[in-house]
Amino acid sequence: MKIGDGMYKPTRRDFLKLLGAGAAWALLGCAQPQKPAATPTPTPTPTPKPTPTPPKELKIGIISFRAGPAAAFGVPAHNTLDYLVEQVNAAGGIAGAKVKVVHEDQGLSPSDTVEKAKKLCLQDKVDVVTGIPGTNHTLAVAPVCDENNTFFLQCQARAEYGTWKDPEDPSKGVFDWVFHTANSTTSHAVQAAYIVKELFPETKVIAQIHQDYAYGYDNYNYFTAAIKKLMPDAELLDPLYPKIFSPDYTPYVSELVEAKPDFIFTSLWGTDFTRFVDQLIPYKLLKGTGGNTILEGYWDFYPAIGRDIPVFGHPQPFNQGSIEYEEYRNILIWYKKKYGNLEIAAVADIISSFYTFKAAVEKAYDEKGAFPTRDEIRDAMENLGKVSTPYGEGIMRKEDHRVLWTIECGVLAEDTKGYGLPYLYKPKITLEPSKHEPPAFMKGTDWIAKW
Amino acid sequence: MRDELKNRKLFLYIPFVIVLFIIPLGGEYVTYLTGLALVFGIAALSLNVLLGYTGLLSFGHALFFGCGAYSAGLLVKHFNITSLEILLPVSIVSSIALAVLVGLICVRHTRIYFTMLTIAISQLFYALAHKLRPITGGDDGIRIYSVHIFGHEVGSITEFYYYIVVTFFISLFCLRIILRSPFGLTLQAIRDSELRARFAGVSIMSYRLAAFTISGLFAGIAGAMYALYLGQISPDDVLSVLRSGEFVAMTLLGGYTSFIGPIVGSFLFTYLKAIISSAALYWYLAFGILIVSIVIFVPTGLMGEIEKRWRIG
Amino acid sequence: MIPQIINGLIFASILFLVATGLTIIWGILRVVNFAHGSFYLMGVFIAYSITRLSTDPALHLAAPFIAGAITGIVGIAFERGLLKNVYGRGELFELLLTYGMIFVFMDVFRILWGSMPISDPTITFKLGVIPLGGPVVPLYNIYLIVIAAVLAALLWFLLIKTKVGMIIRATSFDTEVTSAFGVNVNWVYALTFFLGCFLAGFAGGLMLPITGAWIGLDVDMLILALVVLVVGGMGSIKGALVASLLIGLVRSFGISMFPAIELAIVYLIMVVVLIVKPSGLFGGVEVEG
Repeated sequence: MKIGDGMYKPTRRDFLKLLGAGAAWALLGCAQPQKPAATPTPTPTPTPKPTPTPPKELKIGIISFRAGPAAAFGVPAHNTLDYLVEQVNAAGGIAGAKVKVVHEDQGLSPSDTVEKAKKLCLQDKVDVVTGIPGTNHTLAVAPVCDENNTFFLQCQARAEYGTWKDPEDPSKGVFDWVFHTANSTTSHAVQAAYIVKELFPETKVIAQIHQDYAYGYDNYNYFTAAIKKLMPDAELLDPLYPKIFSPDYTPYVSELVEAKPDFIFTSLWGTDFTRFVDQLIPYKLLKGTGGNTILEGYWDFYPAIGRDIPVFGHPQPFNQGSIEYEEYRNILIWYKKKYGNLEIAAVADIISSFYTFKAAVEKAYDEKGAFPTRDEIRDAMENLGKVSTPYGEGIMRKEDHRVLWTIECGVLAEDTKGYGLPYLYKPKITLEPSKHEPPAFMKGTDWIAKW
Repeated sequence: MRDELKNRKLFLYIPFVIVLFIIPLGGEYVTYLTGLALVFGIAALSLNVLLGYTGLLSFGHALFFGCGAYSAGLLVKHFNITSLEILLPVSIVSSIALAVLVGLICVRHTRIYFTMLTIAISQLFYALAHKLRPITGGDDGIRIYSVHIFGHEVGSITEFYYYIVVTFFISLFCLRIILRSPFGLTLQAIRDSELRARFAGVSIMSYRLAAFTISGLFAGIAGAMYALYLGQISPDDVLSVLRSGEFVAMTLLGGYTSFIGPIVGSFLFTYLKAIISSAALYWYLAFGILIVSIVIFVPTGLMGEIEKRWRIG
Repeated sequence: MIPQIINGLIFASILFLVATGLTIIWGILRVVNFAHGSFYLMGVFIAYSITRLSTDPALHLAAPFIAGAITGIVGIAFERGLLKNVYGRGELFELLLTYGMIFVFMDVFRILWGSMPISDPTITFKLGVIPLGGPVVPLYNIYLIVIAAVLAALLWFLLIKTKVGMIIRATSFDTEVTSAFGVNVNWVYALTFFLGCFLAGFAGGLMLPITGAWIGLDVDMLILALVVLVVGGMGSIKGALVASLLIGLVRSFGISMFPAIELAIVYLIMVVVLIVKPSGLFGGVEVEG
């Protein structure tokens, strides 16, 4: 590698080859670069006239993983949003305004996600940014949207502190434009704890295995704190923390098989969960395979990759949304039919954010009698009270911008009602928000400590 | 002929400087991208000190970029210090220290072994940053919630952009002076023929170590400015081998035989990535074909080709 | 204890196959193939397409072999089509070319197999478990270790005992002399690349039932293979064997004993070896610039 070493002299042929390669690359790689939307007139100032001003277009930007190990969680988010928007537009839009979706892929590093968020806010001038699994990505994007007076409806990342200006200091309050519409990590962990207590009270030994990142550690901390309160006599084994997206679980499986716990709680998700279970099944440890151990985890990732759930009789922590609601059930059935797979959590999450936004716009419109400004929508969102969705009503908690849900969770049973969805919970427990979500500005562990 | 070359280059430089200063007129998104391009430009320049001038390919340069970023981040997180006039010097000092330490290990080796070693060490620190949650925030990283300079709080991305511009030019001039000095010429002599240099009495290791340190130092500056610009740092962002690879790609794209090649590469790469990854689903394919094409057809990169033609023509 | 050893051996076996491929490509062609992880991933994907055709266990067991062969052929196409254009430019350029290919392959996989992760554990279910003293172990795991060992033995036989192997090894010493003896060096390069990529693809196929595949696995495997390459000594198959065992067992026991820093330990080993013996445990003299 020498400068000007004379070993390579470009010829005209080479130059032509370069042009050819460049053209081929340009054709392959670049579709028409997205032209920035025609600058809309700045949010219309409120008019005193009762007749509605012509509604502007509403834009929702979604950032979520469309490739890679998290794609099973991201792709359904994109697809569901498209579907919901299509339905709503066919019915006349939101308060008369048509909705448009801008899709962005989520990069592996938070800075790439931030750059996409900036593009959505500044170039595409979206009204809403949503999606974004991964607490570190979500935390990075929050200030970006807030600076640009754009709604950030967190629905795929589960940190209960996602809306806080400083995740370490709740006294600083929340961002004006950031809302969290789905349930939190605390909810998952606490659901799991209640399931053990209510549905498997004879459990003596509990093992845990979580991915070694924020969500995994949080699950361990919250679950352990909750179990210590609910079942003080249970023995908790040391947790296992495999690297995320590294699904060779053979060493971890050995540990578990040797320990033979009564109950395993895991927050592994995506292919990590399915690979883990596949590797566990041959050892005949789990109930339904020849053993007696109950495994609680995200069994819905099997249908997400188009496979049937291999073993029933095990519980799963859920996101908001009960399939007893027909409208919600129809969306799930539609998705499975169209795509051949179904990841229920992502679908439920996007429903929560889309309908929160819809409710806020409609409320502001009703109050004003004309199409509202973004600020008016924001005030309406904060003061929504109840959020109406295909799976019932959520409650908007004004102080920390979180929507709270009543959650159903339980043991997965085979489909006996003919829905084609194996998510009937037999037995199941229902938890009110106050039972599975911490109060405003409290992290999970602090809240559980006060039980 | 040399003057002619110089004049041609001036034609490029002056408009470039002007454009940099008026970029904010193009909107916040373009400003943001340009700021990124400048910061990565400093990092790529620093990489080229090792690659183009010393003949060593570092595939772990994110280590120093991350060192600068985390130095700033740790001060913010644990001591609530947000003043640029403290954060930047501390990042510089820590980058120098780390560069000397790592350099002592690395410069004993050349060629492929050097490259492997840089990968190994940067991965080690990546793993540590990931695991030491209480200190580094783990994969959540550290949020830098505000930046101050001499008491005044930086109000906007655009304002910080100008600080980046200033830092960029200072780094640029420093590196220019260093690489044009007798030191820089000796470095190139070592690169071209180690044997001859040794016969001339040059201490190869000291020169390589010095180059390594300079390289790490400026990468650290870039990292610190990046951290403050973005407001959120995490291992996948500033310490990953993918980030190191991007620096290499930028240097390759713009041309490692030219002083300003890495800067050109950084701008091209940053803008192209932003445009293509939004417009098309297959950014990686485009990126890969770009790298492969350059390696086969245009190994000295864009500036390398341009400078060759200017010299010939 | 026994499960930890078996688990360590599985990981070590796969690492060994992949790293051996990498090391012979380096040894003969003096190229560090950064795209090696991509060939590994290719093997998983191809094996998946094969196993989707039927649930016949024989097909599933044959899948890694077929996947390896196809991967090997793609490897030849790459080497003859693209890589040979940069021979003689210096190893750094060759490395950079393979680096660019990582991204090309990534999106090609995405185009051909979609964005979602895939897996097919059918064969592990079908083979069941066998008791080994106290604990039970999936039979597929044992099979994997055995087949990797068999392949290693075959490779050793090929390289040491056959004429073809002798030619390959001779080429690694001195290309000018061997071509003076009438050996077509280009054929040797192509064959070596085939072998190297076959091993990577084969290893990938073996892991299909256990880990499956997703975009990103290529980089993960590449990094580990580089660690093994360096620790064992670049160009040494014996070194690859020892280093794979070391890394595999460290990881397996590390997970039970010091889980917090298990990943960092692997890199630390690499750094220490590079400091103390830069050419690796069994590496030859480092070629000076």
